[in-house]
Amino acid sequence: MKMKKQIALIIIAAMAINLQIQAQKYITKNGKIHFYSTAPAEKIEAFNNQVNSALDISNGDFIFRVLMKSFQFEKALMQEHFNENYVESHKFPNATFTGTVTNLNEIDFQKSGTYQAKIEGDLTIHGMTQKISEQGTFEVKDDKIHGKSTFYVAVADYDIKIPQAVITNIAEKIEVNVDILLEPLNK
Amino acid sequence: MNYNEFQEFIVRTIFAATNPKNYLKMKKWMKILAVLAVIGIAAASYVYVFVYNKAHPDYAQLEPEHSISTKACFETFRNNETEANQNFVGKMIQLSGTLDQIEYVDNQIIFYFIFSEGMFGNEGVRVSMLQNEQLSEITTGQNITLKGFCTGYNQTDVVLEHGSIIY
Repeated sequence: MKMKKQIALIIIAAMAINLQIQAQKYITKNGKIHFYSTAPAEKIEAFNNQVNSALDISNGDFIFRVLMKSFQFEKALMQEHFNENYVESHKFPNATFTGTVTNLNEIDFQKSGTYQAKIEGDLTIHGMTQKISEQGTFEVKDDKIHGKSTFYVAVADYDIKIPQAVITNIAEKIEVNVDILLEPLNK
Repeated sequence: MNYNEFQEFIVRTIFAATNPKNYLKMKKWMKILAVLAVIGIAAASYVYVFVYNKAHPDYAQLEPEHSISTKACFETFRNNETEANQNFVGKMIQLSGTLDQIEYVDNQIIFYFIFSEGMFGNEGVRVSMLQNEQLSEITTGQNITLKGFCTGYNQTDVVLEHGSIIY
């Protein structure tokens, strides 16, 4: 009888530890990324509302997974050119970011407020990986973390070739806006 | 033709057009030019409307290229992503399975068929439904057949968009 009680206690303790570990992780599968290119000949923008992101607040690990084919353009032709000619989404279907929040000690995830976040890591687009260092904000409220960031991606850094004929249609640096609402994993 | 030659050509053309002796001759040329201009404008309009501004596909009307169960779809991507990408990504797929979860995000409704667990929690097949779909009678636990445009596998879920119910 005593043995059974001990086993039950061990199981409950293990479950509690597991829940605590899970509570350190915040995720979304509906993050938003919007990119914007302003060039002399044309303005191009696209939206993706299916972005996966996870943040581990215990160590700052931060990842993104973005399906390139999920970007929606206003013009079907632009969407076609983006997927087939530029990012070649049939060869490189995902863009990823794997990095960390480097100023974790300045952010109190238990206390509501808006905090500046410094993020460093590897951004992979079109099969090319570059180290990036960007800034954003985390708004902590009601046990959710609302992350926002705007940064620029140079097309040439990711081996994305723009034909000479349309060089004035696409900006050399694309503005990227990230907007994610992260919720605890165990919810 | 360089710039000077082009300038000379224009001056000569204007002179010839205003010379009564050449009027009849020029009338013929003017007709040819007018026809060419109409053809040019028609071609430019066609390219602008049907190529540059061509409409997105009507996803609700697209015929599925493959029919598969949601579980088989998930497992195909998990076991051989390269092959699954070639077969399914960028195509309309018909799927059948038991609906596990309905998510309401902003103005989107997402149907979720769950088969596993990983670092992002549940893993499976996520279908973002078209906004004009009548979905109020669909509940979790129901066996449904739907179609959606497959955008790929993000190492967690197979993602389909522009989904619509078949039955």
